[in-house]
Amino acid sequence: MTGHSLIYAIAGALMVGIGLRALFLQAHLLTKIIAANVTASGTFLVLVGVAPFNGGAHPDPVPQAMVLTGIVISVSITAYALALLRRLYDVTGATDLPEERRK
Amino acid sequence: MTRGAADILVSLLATALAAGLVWSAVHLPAAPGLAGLVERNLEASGVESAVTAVLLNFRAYDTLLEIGVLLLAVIGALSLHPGEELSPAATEALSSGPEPSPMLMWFVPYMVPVAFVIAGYLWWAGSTIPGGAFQGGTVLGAALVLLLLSGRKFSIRPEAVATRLWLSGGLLFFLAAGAVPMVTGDAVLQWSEEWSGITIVLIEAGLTLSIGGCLAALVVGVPAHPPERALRGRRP
Repeated sequence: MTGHSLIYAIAGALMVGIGLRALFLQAHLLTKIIAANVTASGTFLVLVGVAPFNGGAHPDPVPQAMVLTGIVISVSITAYALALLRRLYDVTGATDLPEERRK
Repeated sequence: MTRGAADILVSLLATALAAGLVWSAVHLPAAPGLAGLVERNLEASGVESAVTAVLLNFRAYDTLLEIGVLLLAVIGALSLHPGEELSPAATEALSSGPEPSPMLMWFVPYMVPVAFVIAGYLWWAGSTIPGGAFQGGTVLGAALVLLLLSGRKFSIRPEAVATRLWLSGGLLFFLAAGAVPMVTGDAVLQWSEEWSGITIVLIEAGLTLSIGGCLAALVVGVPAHPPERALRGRRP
Protein backbone atom coordinates (compact mmCIF):
# COMPACT_ATOMS: atom_id res chain seq x y z
CA MET A 1 0.00 0.00 0.00
CA THR A 2 1.10 3.57 -0.54
CA GLY A 3 3.21 5.09 2.19
CA HIS A 4 1.75 8.57 2.40
CA SER A 5 -1.70 7.46 3.58
CA LEU A 6 -0.32 4.92 6.08
CA ILE A 7 0.17 7.67 8.68
CA TYR A 8 -3.63 8.23 8.74
CA ALA A 9 -4.35 4.54 9.27
CA ILE A 10 -1.82 4.36 12.12
CA ALA A 11 -3.21 7.51 13.77
CA GLY A 12 -6.72 6.07 13.37
CA ALA A 13 -5.69 2.77 14.99
CA LEU A 14 -4.26 4.64 17.99
CA MET A 15 -7.47 6.71 18.26
CA VAL A 16 -9.54 3.49 18.34
CA GLY A 17 -7.42 2.23 21.25
CA ILE A 18 -7.57 5.53 23.18
CA GLY A 19 -11.31 5.92 22.55
CA LEU A 20 -12.21 2.37 23.60
CA ARG A 21 -10.18 2.63 26.80
CA ALA A 22 -12.00 5.84 27.80
CA LEU A 23 -15.36 4.39 26.74
CA PHE A 24 -14.98 1.49 29.17
CA LEU A 25 -13.12 3.16 32.06
CA GLN A 26 -14.50 6.71 32.34
CA ALA A 27 -17.71 6.93 34.36
CA HIS A 28 -18.88 10.40 33.23
CA LEU A 29 -21.37 9.89 30.40
CA LEU A 30 -20.22 12.98 28.48
CA THR A 31 -16.71 11.52 28.45
CA LYS A 32 -18.18 8.26 27.15
CA ILE A 33 -19.96 10.10 24.31
CA ILE A 34 -16.73 11.89 23.35
CA ALA A 35 -14.84 8.56 23.62
CA ALA A 36 -17.33 6.89 21.27
CA ASN A 37 -16.74 9.76 18.83
CA VAL A 38 -12.95 9.40 19.05
CA THR A 39 -13.33 5.64 18.40
CA ALA A 40 -15.62 6.26 15.41
CA SER A 41 -13.28 8.90 13.96
CA GLY A 42 -10.38 6.47 14.36
CA THR A 43 -12.33 3.84 12.43
CA PHE A 44 -12.99 6.35 9.63
CA LEU A 45 -9.28 7.27 9.47
CA VAL A 46 -8.32 3.58 9.25
CA LEU A 47 -10.91 2.95 6.50
CA VAL A 48 -9.76 5.88 4.35
CA GLY A 49 -6.10 5.38 5.27
CA VAL A 50 -5.95 1.79 3.95
CA ALA A 51 -8.09 2.54 0.86
CA PRO A 52 -6.09 1.70 -2.29
CA PHE A 53 -5.06 4.57 -4.58
CA ASN A 54 -4.37 2.54 -7.75
CA GLY A 55 -1.93 5.16 -8.95
CA GLY A 56 -4.61 7.86 -9.13
CA ALA A 57 -4.80 11.06 -7.13
CA HIS A 58 -7.89 10.01 -5.15
CA PRO A 59 -8.46 6.96 -2.96
CA ASP A 60 -11.10 4.32 -3.76
CA PRO A 61 -14.53 6.06 -3.79
CA VAL A 62 -16.35 3.18 -2.04
CA PRO A 63 -14.56 3.51 1.34
CA GLN A 64 -14.95 7.30 1.00
CA ALA A 65 -18.73 6.94 0.59
CA MET A 66 -18.91 4.46 3.49
CA VAL A 67 -17.01 6.88 5.76
CA LEU A 68 -19.28 9.74 4.69
CA THR A 69 -22.28 7.61 5.67
CA GLY A 70 -20.57 6.67 8.93
CA ILE A 71 -19.94 10.31 9.83
CA VAL A 72 -23.65 11.13 9.55
CA ILE A 73 -24.58 8.09 11.67
CA SER A 74 -21.96 9.13 14.23
CA VAL A 75 -23.37 12.68 14.38
CA SER A 76 -26.93 11.33 14.79
CA ILE A 77 -25.99 8.97 17.60
CA THR A 78 -23.94 11.67 19.36
CA ALA A 79 -26.82 14.16 19.28
CA TYR A 80 -29.36 11.61 20.53
CA ALA A 81 -26.99 10.46 23.30
CA LEU A 82 -26.50 14.09 24.36
CA ALA A 83 -30.28 14.60 24.48
CA LEU A 84 -30.62 11.48 26.65
CA LEU A 85 -27.79 12.62 28.95
CA ARG A 86 -29.36 16.07 29.30
CA ARG A 87 -32.67 14.45 30.23
CA LEU A 88 -30.99 12.14 32.74
CA TYR A 89 -29.33 15.15 34.35
CA ASP A 90 -32.60 17.11 34.43
CA VAL A 91 -34.48 14.28 36.13
CA THR A 92 -31.86 12.77 38.46
CA GLY A 93 -29.03 15.34 38.63
CA ALA A 94 -26.55 12.56 37.81
CA THR A 95 -24.03 12.48 34.96
CA ASP A 96 -23.07 8.82 35.33
CA LEU A 97 -24.74 5.45 35.78
CA PRO A 98 -25.22 4.06 39.33
CA GLU A 99 -23.45 0.76 38.61
CA GLU A 100 -20.33 2.61 37.44
CA ARG A 101 -20.07 5.04 40.34
CA ARG A 102 -16.71 4.81 42.12
CA LYS A 103 -16.96 4.54 45.89
CA MET B 1 -12.09 -8.10 40.15
CA THR B 2 -10.84 -4.90 41.74
CA ARG B 3 -11.13 -1.56 40.05
CA GLY B 4 -7.37 -1.28 39.53
CA ALA B 5 -7.12 -4.73 37.92
CA ALA B 6 -10.03 -3.90 35.59
CA ASP B 7 -8.30 -0.63 34.60
CA ILE B 8 -5.11 -2.48 33.73
CA LEU B 9 -6.92 -5.24 31.85
CA VAL B 10 -9.00 -2.82 29.73
CA SER B 11 -5.91 -0.68 29.03
CA LEU B 12 -3.98 -3.76 27.89
CA LEU B 13 -6.84 -4.95 25.65
CA ALA B 14 -7.22 -1.48 24.08
CA THR B 15 -3.45 -1.28 23.49
CA ALA B 16 -3.45 -4.77 21.94
CA LEU B 17 -6.33 -3.82 19.63
CA ALA B 18 -4.60 -0.59 18.54
CA ALA B 19 -1.34 -2.48 17.97
CA GLY B 20 -3.16 -5.15 15.96
CA LEU B 21 -4.83 -2.49 13.80
CA VAL B 22 -1.48 -0.76 13.16
CA TRP B 23 0.10 -4.12 12.30
CA SER B 24 -2.67 -5.03 9.84
CA ALA B 25 -2.64 -1.54 8.26
CA VAL B 26 1.11 -1.85 7.65
CA HIS B 27 0.95 -5.45 6.38
CA LEU B 28 -2.24 -5.16 4.35
CA PRO B 29 -1.58 -6.76 0.94
CA ALA B 30 -2.05 -4.51 -2.09
CA ALA B 31 -5.54 -4.97 -3.54
CA PRO B 32 -7.17 -3.50 -6.64
CA GLY B 33 -10.15 -2.26 -4.60
CA LEU B 34 -13.43 -1.21 -6.16
CA ALA B 35 -12.25 2.02 -7.84
CA GLY B 36 -11.92 0.29 -11.23
CA LEU B 37 -15.41 -1.15 -11.04
CA VAL B 38 -16.84 2.29 -10.15
CA GLU B 39 -14.81 3.92 -12.95
CA ARG B 40 -16.10 1.47 -15.57
CA ASN B 41 -19.75 1.99 -14.57
CA LEU B 42 -19.54 5.73 -13.91
CA GLU B 43 -21.09 6.56 -17.29
CA ALA B 44 -24.22 4.56 -16.43
CA SER B 45 -24.62 6.18 -13.00
CA GLY B 46 -25.88 9.53 -14.28
CA VAL B 47 -23.29 11.62 -12.39
CA GLU B 48 -19.60 12.35 -12.97
CA SER B 49 -18.41 12.31 -9.35
CA ALA B 50 -17.40 8.79 -8.30
CA VAL B 51 -18.28 9.31 -4.62
CA THR B 52 -21.74 10.67 -5.48
CA ALA B 53 -22.27 7.76 -7.87
CA VAL B 54 -21.52 5.31 -5.04
CA LEU B 55 -23.69 7.21 -2.52
CA LEU B 56 -26.78 7.80 -4.66
CA ASN B 57 -26.64 4.96 -7.18
CA PHE B 58 -24.44 1.93 -6.51
CA ARG B 59 -24.99 1.93 -2.75
CA ALA B 60 -28.14 4.06 -2.52
CA TYR B 61 -29.56 1.79 0.20
CA ASP B 62 -26.81 2.96 2.58
CA THR B 63 -27.71 6.58 1.99
CA LEU B 64 -31.46 5.94 2.27
CA LEU B 65 -31.05 4.22 5.64
CA GLU B 66 -28.55 6.84 6.78
CA ILE B 67 -31.01 9.71 6.33
CA GLY B 68 -33.53 7.46 8.13
CA VAL B 69 -31.15 7.19 11.11
CA LEU B 70 -30.64 10.97 11.13
CA LEU B 71 -34.42 11.53 11.15
CA LEU B 72 -34.86 8.95 13.94
CA ALA B 73 -32.25 10.78 16.04
CA VAL B 74 -34.15 14.05 15.50
CA ILE B 75 -37.48 12.45 16.47
CA GLY B 76 -35.84 10.87 19.51
CA ALA B 77 -34.18 14.11 20.66
CA LEU B 78 -37.31 16.22 20.09
CA SER B 79 -39.52 13.73 21.92
CA LEU B 80 -37.35 14.29 25.00
CA HIS B 81 -38.06 18.00 24.80
CA PRO B 82 -40.76 19.35 27.14
CA GLY B 83 -42.70 20.47 24.08
CA GLU B 84 -41.99 24.17 24.04
CA GLU B 85 -41.13 25.93 20.83
CA LEU B 86 -37.47 25.56 19.92
CA SER B 87 -36.95 29.29 19.85
CA PRO B 88 -33.87 31.31 20.86
CA ALA B 89 -34.87 30.60 24.48
CA ALA B 90 -34.01 26.96 23.90
CA THR B 91 -30.55 27.92 22.67
CA GLU B 92 -29.86 30.30 25.57
CA ALA B 93 -27.30 27.95 27.03
CA LEU B 94 -25.44 27.93 23.71
CA SER B 95 -24.92 31.67 23.43
CA SER B 96 -22.55 33.55 25.66
CA GLY B 97 -25.25 35.17 27.80
CA PRO B 98 -28.80 36.46 27.86
CA GLU B 99 -27.93 38.95 25.09
CA PRO B 100 -26.34 37.58 21.90
CA SER B 101 -22.85 38.97 21.49
CA PRO B 102 -22.54 42.10 19.27
CA MET B 103 -20.00 40.24 17.16
CA LEU B 104 -22.58 37.55 16.39
CA MET B 105 -25.28 40.12 15.59
CA TRP B 106 -22.93 41.91 13.18
CA PHE B 107 -21.66 38.68 11.66
CA VAL B 108 -24.92 36.81 11.04
CA PRO B 109 -26.56 39.09 8.40
CA TYR B 110 -23.40 38.83 6.26
CA MET B 111 -22.61 35.20 6.87
CA VAL B 112 -25.98 33.47 6.60
CA PRO B 113 -26.81 34.46 2.99
CA VAL B 114 -23.26 33.49 1.94
CA ALA B 115 -23.69 30.14 3.71
CA PHE B 116 -26.99 29.53 1.89
CA VAL B 117 -25.27 30.16 -1.47
CA ILE B 118 -22.37 27.85 -0.51
CA ALA B 119 -24.86 25.12 0.52
CA GLY B 120 -26.61 25.45 -2.84
CA TYR B 121 -23.30 25.36 -4.68
CA LEU B 122 -22.14 22.24 -2.80
CA TRP B 123 -25.40 20.48 -3.68
CA TRP B 124 -25.07 21.40 -7.37
CA ALA B 125 -21.34 20.66 -7.57
CA GLY B 126 -21.85 17.20 -6.03
CA SER B 127 -22.75 15.59 -9.36
CA THR B 128 -19.41 16.45 -10.98
CA ILE B 129 -16.81 17.16 -8.27
CA PRO B 130 -16.55 16.43 -4.52
CA GLY B 131 -19.57 17.91 -2.76
CA GLY B 132 -23.18 16.82 -2.43
CA ALA B 133 -26.14 16.68 -0.10
CA PHE B 134 -24.26 15.99 3.12
CA GLN B 135 -21.67 18.71 2.66
CA GLY B 136 -24.34 21.19 1.54
CA GLY B 137 -26.71 20.15 4.33
CA THR B 138 -23.98 20.66 6.93
CA VAL B 139 -23.30 24.22 5.75
CA LEU B 140 -27.06 24.92 5.67
CA GLY B 141 -27.44 23.50 9.19
CA ALA B 142 -24.58 25.68 10.47
CA ALA B 143 -26.23 28.78 8.95
CA LEU B 144 -29.55 27.90 10.62
CA VAL B 145 -27.80 27.44 13.99
CA LEU B 146 -26.17 30.88 13.58
CA LEU B 147 -29.63 32.32 12.88
CA LEU B 148 -31.05 30.63 15.99
CA LEU B 149 -28.14 31.84 18.14
CA SER B 150 -28.53 35.43 17.00
CA GLY B 151 -32.07 35.49 18.42
CA ARG B 152 -33.62 36.74 15.19
CA LYS B 153 -37.18 35.92 14.21
CA PHE B 154 -36.43 32.33 13.37
CA SER B 155 -37.31 29.22 15.31
CA ILE B 156 -37.85 25.53 14.70
CA ARG B 157 -41.32 24.42 15.81
CA PRO B 158 -41.37 20.60 15.95
CA GLU B 159 -45.16 20.61 16.41
CA ALA B 160 -45.79 22.43 13.12
CA VAL B 161 -46.76 20.29 10.11
CA ALA B 162 -44.49 22.38 7.85
CA THR B 163 -41.46 21.62 10.07
CA ARG B 164 -42.24 17.91 10.07
CA LEU B 165 -42.54 17.92 6.28
CA TRP B 166 -39.27 19.88 6.00
CA LEU B 167 -37.30 17.49 8.24
CA SER B 168 -38.75 14.29 6.77
CA GLY B 169 -39.15 15.52 3.17
CA GLY B 170 -35.70 14.35 2.05
CA LEU B 171 -36.36 10.78 3.20
CA LEU B 172 -39.96 10.74 1.86
CA PHE B 173 -38.88 11.98 -1.59
CA PHE B 174 -35.98 9.50 -1.63
CA LEU B 175 -38.43 6.66 -0.82
CA ALA B 176 -40.93 7.83 -3.46
CA ALA B 177 -38.21 8.17 -6.11
CA GLY B 178 -36.83 4.77 -5.09
CA ALA B 179 -40.23 3.16 -5.68
CA VAL B 180 -40.65 4.63 -9.19
CA PRO B 181 -38.40 2.04 -10.96
CA MET B 182 -40.72 -0.70 -9.66
CA VAL B 183 -43.41 0.56 -12.08
CA THR B 184 -41.38 -0.69 -15.04
CA GLY B 185 -40.43 -3.91 -13.27
CA ASP B 186 -36.97 -2.82 -12.09
CA ALA B 187 -35.71 -3.16 -8.53
CA VAL B 188 -36.18 -0.51 -5.83
CA LEU B 189 -33.64 2.34 -6.23
CA GLN B 190 -32.56 0.98 -9.64
CA TRP B 191 -32.60 4.23 -11.59
CA SER B 192 -33.03 3.95 -15.36
CA GLU B 193 -29.91 5.21 -17.15
CA GLU B 194 -31.90 7.87 -18.95
CA TRP B 195 -33.33 9.48 -15.79
CA SER B 196 -30.64 8.71 -13.21
CA GLY B 197 -28.86 12.10 -13.49
CA ILE B 198 -31.90 14.27 -12.81
CA THR B 199 -33.22 11.81 -10.19
CA ILE B 200 -29.98 11.97 -8.22
CA VAL B 201 -29.80 15.78 -8.41
CA LEU B 202 -33.42 16.12 -7.19
CA ILE B 203 -32.95 13.59 -4.37
CA GLU B 204 -29.80 15.46 -3.31
CA ALA B 205 -31.75 18.74 -3.28
CA GLY B 206 -34.32 17.23 -0.90
CA LEU B 207 -31.58 15.66 1.21
CA THR B 208 -29.66 18.97 1.46
CA LEU B 209 -32.72 20.82 2.80
CA SER B 210 -33.72 18.03 5.21
CA ILE B 211 -30.19 17.37 6.49
CA GLY B 212 -29.70 21.10 7.18
CA GLY B 213 -32.98 21.22 9.11
CA CYS B 214 -32.29 17.98 10.97
CA LEU B 215 -28.82 19.11 12.08
CA ALA B 216 -30.17 22.47 13.31
CA ALA B 217 -33.03 20.66 15.09
CA LEU B 218 -30.49 18.34 16.76
CA VAL B 219 -28.42 21.30 17.98
CA VAL B 220 -31.43 22.99 19.61
CA GLY B 221 -33.27 19.73 20.31
CA VAL B 222 -31.31 18.95 23.46
CA PRO B 223 -33.42 20.29 26.36
CA ALA B 224 -31.53 23.19 27.91
CA HIS B 225 -33.78 24.05 30.86
CA PRO B 226 -32.57 24.20 34.45
CA PRO B 227 -33.64 21.02 36.31
CA GLU B 228 -36.28 22.56 38.60
CA ARG B 229 -38.00 24.37 35.73
CA ALA B 230 -37.96 21.27 33.55
CA LEU B 231 -39.54 19.16 36.31
CA ARG B 232 -42.19 21.73 37.19
CA GLY B 233 -43.12 22.16 33.53
CA ARG B 234 -43.92 18.50 33.06
CA ARG B 235 -46.09 17.98 36.14
CA PRO B 236 -49.63 19.37 35.88
